[in-house]
Amino acid sequence: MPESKPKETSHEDLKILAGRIARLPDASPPPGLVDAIMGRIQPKKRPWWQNWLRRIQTPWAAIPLRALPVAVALLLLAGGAALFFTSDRDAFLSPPSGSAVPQPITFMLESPTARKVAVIGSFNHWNPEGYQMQRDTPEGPWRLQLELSQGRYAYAFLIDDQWHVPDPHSLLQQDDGFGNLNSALIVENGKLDANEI
Amino acid sequence: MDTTEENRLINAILGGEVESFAVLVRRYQRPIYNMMLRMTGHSEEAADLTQEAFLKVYENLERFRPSGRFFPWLYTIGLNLARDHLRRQKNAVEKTAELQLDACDLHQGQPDHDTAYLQHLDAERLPLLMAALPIDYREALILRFHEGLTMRDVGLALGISTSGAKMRVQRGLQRLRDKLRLKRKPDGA
Repeated sequence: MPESKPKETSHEDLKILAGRIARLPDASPPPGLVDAIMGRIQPKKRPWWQNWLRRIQTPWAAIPLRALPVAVALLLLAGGAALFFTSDRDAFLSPPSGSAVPQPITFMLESPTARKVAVIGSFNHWNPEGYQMQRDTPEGPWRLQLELSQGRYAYAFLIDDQWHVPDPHSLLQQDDGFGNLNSALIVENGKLDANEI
Repeated sequence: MDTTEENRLINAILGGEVESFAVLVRRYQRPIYNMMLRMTGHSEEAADLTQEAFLKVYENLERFRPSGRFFPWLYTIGLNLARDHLRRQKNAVEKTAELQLDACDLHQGQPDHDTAYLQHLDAERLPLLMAALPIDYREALILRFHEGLTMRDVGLALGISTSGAKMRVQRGLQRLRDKLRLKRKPDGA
């Protein structure tokens, strides 16, 4: 299981409910919805300097590489002006939210009789190669640390190359539509959040 | 779609590239339409409100902060529109759902185990139970577990703090469980 707060057994039914909510079917929007919306809007016409200000307030990763030299020059020239004109100086000075910097997440499974265990999931396209778990003692828990960006992932353990096993301690469980039950985890702000309910 | 891509699209839209907005609409029409469907219970009303939500987002795109998160912002606008609509229409979807739920034969002669009653909670009954929850609890659960948002983003979408979002998700789950147990009592007693 990924390391996180200890799970209370009294939360077992809440865990099942959360998994059922995750698997609720969605209704499909009407086919013409996008066209209907697009047919009701006109291109925006803004002064060029407003778009420039917007771009220098945008986190760096959102600026295309070919525009980087221009962006640097603009930042130097207009940075002071932006600070002067913007009504939200904190937004200008603060780092971007929703950072996609990968964070270390440790998976753990207790399976004393297993000969080998791997973690498979949406983060490695369900390919166990290079994702073998290790243990410190012959009967200790299997562990593997991975770097995962913020987001939601489905995963399971592959025991002895043949048994597909969801994480018994994960809060969220979901089936993959092919008869396998997987676990789900949500990585948030550098920590595992899947067991938080 | 990550924040970087969203910001790139939004800057393009603000620069006059209206077609980029279609990318955002295609990406997010499904969760917004489904939210509207949960709120109104009618597909036509839901489609109209979804249109209105995206049009309002387009009109106000200049006010979206580049350091912000687009989907929670869109969801907030959509949720406010839906609430206003319900206030105008006085459309009590929750009461309708309660009636349907009462007529629904939830549990008959089930063993009284802690989680046994959940085995009988199928895909048709859960939306009815969810509809009977207060909107804020229901949407917190959907955003957290169905859309897979972080607690921070759940909070942003609902206009509450991250700790408030955690509390709402936890209490929403507990309320949902309590509703299930209450429905079970006549048979289980």
